[in-house]
Amino acid sequence: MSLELLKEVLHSGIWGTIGPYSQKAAEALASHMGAKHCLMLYSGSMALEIALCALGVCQGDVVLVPASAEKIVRLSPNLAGAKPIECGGEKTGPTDIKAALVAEPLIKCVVLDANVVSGLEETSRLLSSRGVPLIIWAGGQVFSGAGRTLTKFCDFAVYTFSEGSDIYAGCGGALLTDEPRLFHIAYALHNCGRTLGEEASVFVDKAVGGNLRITEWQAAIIYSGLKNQSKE
Amino acid sequence: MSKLAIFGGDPVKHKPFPGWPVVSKRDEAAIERAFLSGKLCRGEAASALERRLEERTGTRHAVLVSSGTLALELILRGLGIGYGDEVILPPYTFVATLSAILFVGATPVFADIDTETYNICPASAESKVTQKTRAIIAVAVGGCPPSIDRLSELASRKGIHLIIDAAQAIGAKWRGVDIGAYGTAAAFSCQNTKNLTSGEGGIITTNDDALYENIRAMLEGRHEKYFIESCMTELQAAVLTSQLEKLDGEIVTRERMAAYLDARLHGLPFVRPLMREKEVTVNAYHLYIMRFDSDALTDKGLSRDIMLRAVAAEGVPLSAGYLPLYSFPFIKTEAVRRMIGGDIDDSPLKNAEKAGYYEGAWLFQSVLLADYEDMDDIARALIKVWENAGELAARSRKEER
Repeated sequence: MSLELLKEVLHSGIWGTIGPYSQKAAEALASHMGAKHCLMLYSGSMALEIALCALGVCQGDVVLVPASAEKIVRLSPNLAGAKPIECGGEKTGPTDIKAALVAEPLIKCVVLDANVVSGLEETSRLLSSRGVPLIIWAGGQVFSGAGRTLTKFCDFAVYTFSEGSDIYAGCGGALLTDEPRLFHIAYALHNCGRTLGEEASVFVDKAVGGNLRITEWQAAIIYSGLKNQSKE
Repeated sequence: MSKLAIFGGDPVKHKPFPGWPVVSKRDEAAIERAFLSGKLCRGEAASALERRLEERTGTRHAVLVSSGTLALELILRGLGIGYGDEVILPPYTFVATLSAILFVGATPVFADIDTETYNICPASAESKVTQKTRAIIAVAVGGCPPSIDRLSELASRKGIHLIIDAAQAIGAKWRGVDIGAYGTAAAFSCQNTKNLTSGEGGIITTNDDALYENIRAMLEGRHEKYFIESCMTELQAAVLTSQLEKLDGEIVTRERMAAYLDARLHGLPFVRPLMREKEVTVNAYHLYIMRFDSDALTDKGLSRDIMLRAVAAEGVPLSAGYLPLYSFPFIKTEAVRRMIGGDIDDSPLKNAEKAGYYEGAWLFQSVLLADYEDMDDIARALIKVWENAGELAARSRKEER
């Protein structure tokens, strides 16, 4: 199925810049995960960067990350100019987070790795009560593990489609959220500052943003993977 | 004098200009091969293309990445440029040049453009250099190389980096040498509209071994501070390789058609093509940029934007170009202030104002893949609108009232 879709993409002449498959993949993934909004990005690290920036993390801020998380998670705050502070052991739970919040009261945001977290619901409640936003890295667990319904516990759930992921598109990332405001900020940040509906404009004057868009090639593979799974 | 199409007359041009991108059977085979290889990232297509681009640009290193914007960002991060540093750029460019600087936390400083070429003015750039300046990003606007000799000399004298934003300039040459070989590094874009495209994509070229190693480390997760998954996928690399086969032929066609159009516009009292410095041996012509004479238009009661609407109605897709980046409202937001820890100087720059608001106009690259008759139509449409200037001005005044 993927190869046929790739040929369709080729002949459409729309190979990037948020074409139909980027939108279809976003809709299919949001529906599969039970999230209100989904943004497809070029890669998982870029999805993390956009999530942090959308939450207002920037130069001088402190971001909490699990010590045993994947390197991509542990280093992600640097992309927003923030300083990562590690906490927890093999697993990171609410007690570790609580202790870290006492030691570093100015923590701007927490990024957790779904693979090395315990007591997610309690952690989520704790951070929510302190007004500290939470990003959860689900890695490539689109169909397996703790991947689904994560947006109930966090501001952003982040997925990757790189090697070893449930769907392999060479590279690829997705950002899921239930918050429309955050979705719109993230959208502009990943698309050169364009807001939804401004895709064709070269005048991008309202918001700041880079180009972290997914290609139609990647999006078609991801869409195909999601459709195949739903059939099964 | 025939009636203007904008007022219901017959347009000059009925046949559409060529579309973009142009797809061939070779592209289809390339996609199939890459997909069936099962290795969709960091495979043979990308590494073979990198070697080919090194050879083509005459550089030691070429790196394929996800976009032209990311290419610039990786260069800046790779050079250790960030918070507290200043980077000089022209305001007449796509917003990506600016956002790459903001995303690394550095402070953008705008230098004016040259009124004849619309590229960064070396004298203005020099006047903006301070103790905090780490780099100048010189954009090859529309695909035409900027004043490389003067900018290289300036960068070398001040001990700062010259970075070439060649997003629109694949195949462009200065003194017979590929634009990718100049400066500390160059960044190209392969976004959907570009002359060499894979939908999205970017290319970094450099002769700086340390920078190259830093960029590779960031891409491969070996860097101590950054892990940026931005390697170009095999599918993109396969399409680019296939599209590269026709790039040189298209460059020749674009240059030929641009020269013909230059000649057709020669002597018109209200419009002229941009000047090309004599050292520019190949202009990539991602855009054919022309300048309206704002004084001549004002004398007739017209403006560039009124002219553009009338020319577009004649079937010629001539559009206003960039607005100066310093005028974009977002640069004054708290979000941007926090990103860089201060304010951006948004003082207007004379030549950028003139180009952005009153004089600049573009034709997109695929228009230059048409034939001589189409170039004649472009000139005819401009002349027809000018000949009807009186009526156009009168009706515009009436509409305004």
